[in-house]
This record gives sequence, structure tokens and C-alpha cells, in this order.
Amino acid sequence: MLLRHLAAVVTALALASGVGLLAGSFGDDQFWLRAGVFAACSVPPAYGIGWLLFVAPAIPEGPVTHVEETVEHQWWQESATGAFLDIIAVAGIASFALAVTDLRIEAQNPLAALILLGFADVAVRFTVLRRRNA
Amino acid sequence: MRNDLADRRAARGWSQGRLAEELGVSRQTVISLEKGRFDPSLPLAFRIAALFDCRIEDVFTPDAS
Repeated sequence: MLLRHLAAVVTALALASGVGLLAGSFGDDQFWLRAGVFAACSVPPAYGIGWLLFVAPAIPEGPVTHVEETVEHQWWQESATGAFLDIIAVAGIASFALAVTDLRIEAQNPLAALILLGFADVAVRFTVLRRRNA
Repeated sequence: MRNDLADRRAARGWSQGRLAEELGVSRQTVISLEKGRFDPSLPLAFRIAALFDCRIEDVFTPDAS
């Protein structure tokens, strides 16, 4: 198991370094600063990928052997479906508004906001369902 | 859908956690099932029936509508 954790860490460092180098090479100046910041920010999700690849398959099955038949799974499905439809609606309205006003904006911030909206939407919906049904 | 899961569980002296373990689901699922707030999937209903050695319709009763 220690080897698997080590493999996950190595994977995380390799992926994060790759992202950092890529980000650094795209910038006009301050290569190492860009590379360092992007690499540092990429470590957590990169470790998640490493964990999924190497550690998760070796974790013994817990008492819940039929996850897809639990009420939590149903809450998750309802939350994710609702959030997906919300995001489609928000993106559609925003796209319509941009088309009507002929406004030109950078995509970076709106996309990040859309992702955060998705996270928050799922979290709120899940919490409401849990409180209502618990 | 109504059910008598809580009575059957109590008759065996099982906790909700024990029943959840027997069925391979979470304790919250058993709680929601017993309160009638969660309708089980068909495979889960079959496992419940098999566990209590009865038919599905003995445990679950559709709501009158």
C-alpha cells in the first residue's frame, strides 16, 4: 500500500510539473514564477488522479456493497441532474444576453464562475434533499 | 410506498446499522426506507424480501392514490 501511495505522489508531482512547465512556456515572461504557481496549484487535483489510479483500486470493499442502491446515490443523481439543467439555463441566458448586447468578454472568468455555480448548486441541492428526507 | 420494514427488523432484534450491513447499503438508506421516503430499486427490494424470507408485496404496499 505504501508503494501505491508513493506512486500516487510521484504521479501528482509529474503531472503538476508538466502543467507548470506548460503554463510557463505559454507566458511571455517570468517563466519560473508562472511554472511554480501553476505547478503548486495543480498538485492537489493531480494527486487525486494518482490516488484514483493507484490507491483506490486497492482499498478493500466497505460494508456498503451496493452504492448505486443507496438513498445518498439517489440524492446525488437528483442534485447533479438539477445542477446540470441550471447550468444549461444560465449558460443559455448569458449567451443570449451577449448576443443581444454584442458584448465581448474574456471567457476565463465566466467559465470559472460557471464551474463554481455548478459546485454550489449540487452542494445546496444535496443538502436540501438530505435535510428534507433524513 | 409504505412498508413494515421497521417491524420486521425489530422482530429480529436488529439495529438499522445491522440491517444496512445485511443489505449492503448505507444506514441512511434503511432510515429513509423505514420512513417511506425512499423507494428501493427492484434488486434491493428482492434482497429485502429474501432476507426476511417473504415476498416483496408482503413488505411493501403501494400508497393509495
